[in-house]
Amino acid sequence: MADWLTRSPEEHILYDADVLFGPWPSHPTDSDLATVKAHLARSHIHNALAISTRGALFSDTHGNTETLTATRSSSSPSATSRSDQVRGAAERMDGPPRRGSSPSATSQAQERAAAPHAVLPEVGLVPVGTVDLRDAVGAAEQVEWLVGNGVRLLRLFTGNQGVLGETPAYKYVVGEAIERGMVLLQDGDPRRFGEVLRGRGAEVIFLDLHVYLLADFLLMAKGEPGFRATTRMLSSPDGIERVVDTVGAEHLVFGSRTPFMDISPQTLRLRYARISTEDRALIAGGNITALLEKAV
Amino acid sequence: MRIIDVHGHWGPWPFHLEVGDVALNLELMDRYGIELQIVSAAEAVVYDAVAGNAKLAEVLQEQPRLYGYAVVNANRLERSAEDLKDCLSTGRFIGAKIHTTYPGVSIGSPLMADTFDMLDEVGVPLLLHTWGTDVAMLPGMLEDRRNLRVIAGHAGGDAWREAARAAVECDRIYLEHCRTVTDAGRITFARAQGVPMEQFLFGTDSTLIDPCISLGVIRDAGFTPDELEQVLATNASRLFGL
Repeated sequence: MADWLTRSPEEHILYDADVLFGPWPSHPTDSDLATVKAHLARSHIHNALAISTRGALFSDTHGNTETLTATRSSSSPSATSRSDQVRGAAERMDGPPRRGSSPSATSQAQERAAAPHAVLPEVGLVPVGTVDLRDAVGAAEQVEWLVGNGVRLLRLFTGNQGVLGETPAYKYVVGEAIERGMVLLQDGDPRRFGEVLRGRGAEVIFLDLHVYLLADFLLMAKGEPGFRATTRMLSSPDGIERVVDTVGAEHLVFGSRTPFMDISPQTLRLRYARISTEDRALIAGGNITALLEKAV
Repeated sequence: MRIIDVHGHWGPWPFHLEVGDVALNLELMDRYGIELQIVSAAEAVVYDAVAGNAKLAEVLQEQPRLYGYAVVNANRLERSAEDLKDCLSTGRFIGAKIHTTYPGVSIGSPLMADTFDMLDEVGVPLLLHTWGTDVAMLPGMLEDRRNLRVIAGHAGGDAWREAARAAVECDRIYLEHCRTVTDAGRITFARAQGVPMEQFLFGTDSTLIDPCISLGVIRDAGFTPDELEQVLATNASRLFGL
């Protein structure tokens, strides 16, 4: 059996920064929260920064309420110390295989066969808010409401909302968010939005960094400790390694875009990346843990 | 388990990557258990087809686990047709490759139709870069070109639904799903549309893309062991005579 066919502890993820739930009209099927959580659990993703699709496509206020309701009814990562979680995950990643079977001896078929009967671990959810950039006049109040409800992450959907660049609405919203210490989850081309976010102490996770744009990201990240990107599209054999070697593993986080993307390609790339165990643990969750503690 | 990668590359790319050494092809093949890889030269794809093919020909002489695609530039068909025949005569090239973006020739272009005529005569499999809804034109273009077998590289890219339907319409269209953006459910969708298992192939885009990306797509597709064997090797073995 080929090694890659079996999920290994090096693929376990403490925090996934890019998870959505709800209807998505351009896809053949929709994924509700329960389906998304079950998929994450089967993929050994323990916690997710999650957002309802309603806020992205239709109504930010109702979407934010839906996200908060969903995440409050789920197990919360803050129920235990995040430092403990990092340690726990690191132990799971590096620890010995379960008694009686090594990970490499456990086939995916066995994992699939066992899944219907196994009790999946509860996936912790961290709420992510949003503001619709097509109707941003009242954005300050919406951001304030989010912060008042304990939301520290703001995701922007410029692509879905047809925002062509540094529009007045975009600049206004990110200004309000940065002023309140929120972490921005920024979609789109980092070259398009990086400039307006530079020099402001912004904490940003770029969700759509393609490996072809890596040079631009590295040039920006050298001077911006708060600029991070997800590994999702760093698909080359040296993409993750180049970021780690050039600016450090602190600039990368795992973000799968579940349920719209396959998860295994991304966990396999992290597993086989030629980086240290410590750097892998940072990317798989340590960096998000630190960010959430900082943003509290 | 035997694995044949039908979509590989050799040589450097004009991005912030260091993936041009053939040693990396072999290192990645060894890491993931890939026995054979069919590659085109990056230089031939992006810049100069004839010169890139010539450089690849030299590499292939030293690398028995690699086979070659000769890149055909539809903008200069006569020269490319000559070059394709020369490449095939070495015995180390076993197919043709056409990129649509770099030479700026779309599937619906009259230049592509002429190129398909030439390839129909030659009779080797074609790896075609497909990216967009014009992949839906392929069944019509293959109807009267009975010798032409086309691998839809990237399975249409973001037009994977159209690519799947094209493969249902014509049994000489093969789907190969390598891509950085791994949209979930592409293979499940294709199977549900009725694409026979014989028309799925495994490709990676290595060394531009790490093979584990495509292997992850295969893992998430939930093939049975028998189906895996077909997709990873048997179908390619039959198509290329390997």
